[in-house]
Amino acid sequence: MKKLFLLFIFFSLVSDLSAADIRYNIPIDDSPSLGPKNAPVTVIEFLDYQ
Amino acid sequence: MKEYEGKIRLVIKHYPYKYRDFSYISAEASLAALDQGKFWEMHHLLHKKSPQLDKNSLIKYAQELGLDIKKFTESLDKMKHAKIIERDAKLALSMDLYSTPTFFINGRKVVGDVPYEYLKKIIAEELNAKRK
Repeated sequence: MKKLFLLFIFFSLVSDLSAADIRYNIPIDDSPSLGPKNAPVTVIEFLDYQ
Repeated sequence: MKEYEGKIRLVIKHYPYKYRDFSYISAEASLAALDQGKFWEMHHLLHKKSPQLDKNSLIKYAQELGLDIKKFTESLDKMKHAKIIERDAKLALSMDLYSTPTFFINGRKVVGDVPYEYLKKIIAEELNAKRK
């Protein structure tokens, strides 16, 4: 029973991590940008015009 | 965007879908406009006019924005910015991105054409987190 409980804890931790807390580190390089470099929020958009 | 002036930096990465006719040339057109200081103007125009993005239309848009047409057309023909576009696309693939638009808000991934309200919610969360 205890093992099962630990397993449960483990999987709930893992699924939490994969759901919300991943933060990708994306190089900005010389991509077109608008707004101050030190802005508190950076939005990177991958787009296709068509 | 305007309501967040000074608080947000928006960065554009190009990820043209390879099986659509005008995706690539439109990305090139936006970067050709960037060379002439009119990226955002072209960016908005392309959004507005999509999917009418064949070469002649793009040249017409460049004329509307008062760009140097000779330079602009040359950019399209020589695919002058292929390196940048391919670099962006490679980056997208390396992260297993398969749909556009995909947003990263302080690194948090948001996939697809989500309602603007949803993006605003995440932006607000990030702004709040920074304030603490």
